[in-house]
Amino acid sequence: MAYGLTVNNDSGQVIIDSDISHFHFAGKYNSASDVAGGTLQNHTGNTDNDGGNFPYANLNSLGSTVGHIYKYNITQADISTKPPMCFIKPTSTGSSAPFAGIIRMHFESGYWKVELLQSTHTNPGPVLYVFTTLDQLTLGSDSYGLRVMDSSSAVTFDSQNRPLRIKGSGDITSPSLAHTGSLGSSWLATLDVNCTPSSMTHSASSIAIDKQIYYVPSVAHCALQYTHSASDSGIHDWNSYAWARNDIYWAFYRSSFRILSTSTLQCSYAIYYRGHLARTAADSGFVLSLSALFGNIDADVGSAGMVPYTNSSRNVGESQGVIITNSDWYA
Amino acid sequence: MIEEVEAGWEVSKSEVIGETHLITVTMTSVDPNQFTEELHNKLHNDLTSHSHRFSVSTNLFTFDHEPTDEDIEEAVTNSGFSPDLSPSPKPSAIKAVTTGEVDILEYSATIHPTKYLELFNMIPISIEEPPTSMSLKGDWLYLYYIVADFTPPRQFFTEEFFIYSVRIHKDTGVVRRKGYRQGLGLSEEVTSTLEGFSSIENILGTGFYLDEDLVTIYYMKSSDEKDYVESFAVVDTPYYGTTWEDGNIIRTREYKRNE
Repeated sequence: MAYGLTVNNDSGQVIIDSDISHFHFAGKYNSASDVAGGTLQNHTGNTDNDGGNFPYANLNSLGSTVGHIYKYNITQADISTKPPMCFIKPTSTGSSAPFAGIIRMHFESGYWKVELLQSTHTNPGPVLYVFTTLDQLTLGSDSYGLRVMDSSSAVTFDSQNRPLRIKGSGDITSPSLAHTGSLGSSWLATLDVNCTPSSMTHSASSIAIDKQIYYVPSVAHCALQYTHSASDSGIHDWNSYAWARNDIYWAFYRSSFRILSTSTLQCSYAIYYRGHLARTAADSGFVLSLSALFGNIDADVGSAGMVPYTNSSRNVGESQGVIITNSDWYA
Repeated sequence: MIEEVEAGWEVSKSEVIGETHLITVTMTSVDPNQFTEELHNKLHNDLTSHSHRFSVSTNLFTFDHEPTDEDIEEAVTNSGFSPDLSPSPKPSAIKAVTTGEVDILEYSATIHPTKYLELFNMIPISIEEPPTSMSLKGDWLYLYYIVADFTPPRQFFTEEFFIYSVRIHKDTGVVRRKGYRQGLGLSEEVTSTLEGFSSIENILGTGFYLDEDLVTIYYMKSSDEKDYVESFAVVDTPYYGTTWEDGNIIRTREYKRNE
């Protein structure tokens, strides 16, 4: 190039390039609010039949444990075109730590709204370390350091604004299925995450485990679905009876992550949304049709838009890029 | 109307992700009881206890290879699936317990068809209407008729009762009949002649022997709530029956379900 600056490390990797808008530290954020993940659960229909053995079990069970969603409001000058880069500082580390991942970003009411899903509820939730380009930040006023501009005089790197220093990186692959084995039995589903987490070893082990922060996209996985239905009719104690029941359980998973050790990041899943709908009918007339109940259930779940794909697996085998840095550098 | 459902399993969705085969299977179980339309109509007309139940489940099975039908069969079986739905808990046979005598079991045509048929085939005379249930005591076969609209089994009865029973000697074919009415169907003039009648409370019904000088009164075991009997035809709760001959008690039986 005829102008500008390029700095490489001893492996030939670009460290600074004046033509690239480098990310710089924009602040730490605690969650502004939090809420349990979504649950769509209800039972409709009557259950009282005259003498029949109506199955009352688990009419209001949920079959899985939903994750917890933390919401952050990120302040940034341009809220429409340049989403920030959010690193997660988890609430804990190790083999008992919850898994967390950022599942949604959108701009609204002057903020970049960020939603983080964690497999279990903790108080407080994870902290976000946010990075963005310099055009979104106020430049430093020091009279020393290194500032780099592109051909249009836009500042693309400034040592005063604490540029993002990547200490470790790699690719992590999510497990092939969030729940392995049977999805349920009779009237109760068992859809909790039970897979073995996948692991990635990285080179940032020199950072203390409680100082590591990571950036990795969370991807949608699948909705596992379990259904059970039954009907009966007949005569009992001189009375006619009839009943039908149809249940559908489902859980929608997103990939999420935790720091296992100073050199290992793990990937598993957290439940973003779950549901259990039960439809019943019971009376003493022989007019019930199970197929009619099937129709009702499908319509309810479908209209809620909650099951994009079922009993399948998505975004597995795809490498997800991971970046790890040190929170102490941005204290 | 019986909803026709075929038992078994079928693959409802199949997908391969990497080396993992995801197979969603729909499994259908049905009550092994099968009824002809004619029998089914009769069961309903007679209000005879029966059911026709089925269930359908969908579950996901994963394989590290393309599964054969045998692989899937093994997986669904291991998950607990059976094409025969475990039948609803059915009441056990009614048992008549008499001190000093062998206990007698009463078998229903629909609930205990094998034992019922065994006894039915022992009847030495032609039977126009199959009874609701049967038992065998010594040389006597007992036929019980419980009819929804109380219509008498015309082969043996002309008068209407709540329940009917016929005792037939298995060798000679001699017939003895008894009709049952709910509550106490005897006048005070008669009950005053019955030994120990004054101590009997909570009377459920009365058995009238049409061919013998006998009478039986059925009553709750006590006034406790646990001994309350809703219907003495069903025998959900045990109760007693005391029989008099010429005013003298000849036996007291306890009627209950076989444990």
